[in-house]
Amino acid sequence: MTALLEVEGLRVRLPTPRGFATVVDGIDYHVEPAQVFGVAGESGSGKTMSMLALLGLLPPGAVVEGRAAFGGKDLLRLRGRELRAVSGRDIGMVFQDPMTSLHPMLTIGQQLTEHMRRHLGLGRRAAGDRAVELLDQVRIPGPRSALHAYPHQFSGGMRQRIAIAIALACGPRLLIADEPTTALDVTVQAGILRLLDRLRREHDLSVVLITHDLAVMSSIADRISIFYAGRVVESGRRDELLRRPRHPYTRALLDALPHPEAARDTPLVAIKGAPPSPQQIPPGCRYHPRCPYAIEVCTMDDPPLVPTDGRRLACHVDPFADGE
Amino acid sequence: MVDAPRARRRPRPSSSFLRFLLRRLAALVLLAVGITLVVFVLTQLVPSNAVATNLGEQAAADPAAVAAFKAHYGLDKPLPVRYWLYLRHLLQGDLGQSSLTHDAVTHDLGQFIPATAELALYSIVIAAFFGITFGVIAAMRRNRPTDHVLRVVSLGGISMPTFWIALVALYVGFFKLGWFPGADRLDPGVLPPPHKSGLYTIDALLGGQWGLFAQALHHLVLPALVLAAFNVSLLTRYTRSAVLEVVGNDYVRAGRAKGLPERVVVRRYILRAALPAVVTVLGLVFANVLTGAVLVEKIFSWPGIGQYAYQAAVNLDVPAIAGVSLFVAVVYITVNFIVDILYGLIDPRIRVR
Repeated sequence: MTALLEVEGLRVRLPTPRGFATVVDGIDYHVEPAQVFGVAGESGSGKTMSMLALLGLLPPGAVVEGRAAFGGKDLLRLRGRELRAVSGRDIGMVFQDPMTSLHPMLTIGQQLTEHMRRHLGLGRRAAGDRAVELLDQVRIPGPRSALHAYPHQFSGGMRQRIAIAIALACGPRLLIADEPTTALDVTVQAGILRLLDRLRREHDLSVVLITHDLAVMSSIADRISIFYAGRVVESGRRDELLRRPRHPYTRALLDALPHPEAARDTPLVAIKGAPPSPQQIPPGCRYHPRCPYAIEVCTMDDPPLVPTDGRRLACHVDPFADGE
Repeated sequence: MVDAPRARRRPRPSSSFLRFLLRRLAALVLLAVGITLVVFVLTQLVPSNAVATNLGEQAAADPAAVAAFKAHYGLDKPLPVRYWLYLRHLLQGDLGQSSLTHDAVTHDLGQFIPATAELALYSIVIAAFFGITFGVIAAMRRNRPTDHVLRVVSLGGISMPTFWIALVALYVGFFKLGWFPGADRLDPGVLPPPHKSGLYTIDALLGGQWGLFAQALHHLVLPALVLAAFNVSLLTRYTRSAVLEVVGNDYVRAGRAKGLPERVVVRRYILRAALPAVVTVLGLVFANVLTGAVLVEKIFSWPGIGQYAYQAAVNLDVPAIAGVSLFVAVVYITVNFIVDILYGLIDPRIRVR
């Protein structure tokens, strides 16, 4: 199977008052058709920036290197009109906070149809009909009257459904969802995840799902990459990765998840320390200052991401190699 | 279509919008009454002797004439009764008689308002167009050379007093270069177009008098630009900061992610969201233009209410001053009312409150 999106050596540098900060530092991944590719990691690990880079949505002055092959084109080389022809049409995007990602002064109908009319050349009427269909698909009650409503008339979960409908309006092949459930209540989260899963199956859609929540990942992702400080530390199939994590960081993320069924006296494990700021990346393995398994080589050599046992792993020590 | 009747039903902003409108309207009326009170009290505070200014020295020395004058104008009655009289006359459209022109103040205002209205109109259009454009450009090119240049220029426009800009413009544009006429609405001896709106450019166009239109426009350019200068700067600065507040928003990024052309993103996503703040400043611009008109009209010998107010003030023509104050105040609160309504139209969230 050929990949729908293939990213190689993606590097993003953002301008700061004290020179450039490398927030994404050489990342490779690929997304296969009709699969959900999950990207996990703490905030500041470069997840969002690596996605924004694909559609040229980085803040002004950002420098992007690498390659992102999508439909025979390199997204990172596209400019202006060429890039706009892909954005919103072949690639849809859903943002974290539905309270802020919809324009408060435009009706749902306007926000849902403007890019359809542009990309698909639909007339007002046809676009309106399709909009109703989309709202129906994402289970917005009364879709026809919803077209004339404004975002503030809907709840957070509803707004995220609308945002998803907007992202899907032009029938994209890839949906990038950046923490689509983080700002929502847990019960609403499940609904959004089920919706994404259903849309993926019905529309042959690939999804890049960014989240810091491995519980969300485990319910929907096919393959997962774990980001740390602008690098991928481990990636592989969901079951492999979540059942038998090999990187100490993946392990720590999983241990930090609360288990409702676990005994009440098992304390929650927090990862010690904080991720490094992009300006102060430690030498060697970026995780070593927080890693309980670190040995001397970790402080000096940056471990490469190498295929290991059906996954890719960047760790010198590999403390869980024997399955433990 | 079974859905048809429901499809036409908007999510009823109409009824709540109507209530919003009525509330504002009630506030407007109360405000207007308050203004008449203030204007009235001010006329009483001005240390002018209505008897002396109106009767002349000889008659003012005659107690019988003075008493008759006072009785005729109700000046012998207590203050509240006089206010009541003032209000009653006001309702009948009577603003009193100017002691300078000996015409009804309403007649005078009718003569002078069109000239000011024309000047103000052009000036506001110029200020709005350039101010908003510059503000958006400065914000979109934040911290780049264009932004710096615009910042310096707008700072200059705000710092320099309007009367000084007016004098410089007159000196350079009229005296040195001779590009623009220096005074009045038309060249000396030229008859104005047949009176319809009182705005010469519009009346000339309505009458098909192209030459006259060009001439009226030519006369307008310099004073309108001068009057706009401060406001262009003001709008540039406020628009810039309003836009900067909006550009970082998620929905702007979402708009770009949809593949909309940059100009659509700027207009529909950025400017639209910054508009409430811009409209507020536009209301201020209106007020600035009306107050600034006094000086600019004086310097450019523009026969508008600014001139009229200036003459009235210099000659202690109290009814005229009161009339102009009332007019300006009414324009002011009307503009504020319109601004409030515009908020509601621009931002649907406000209608609900």
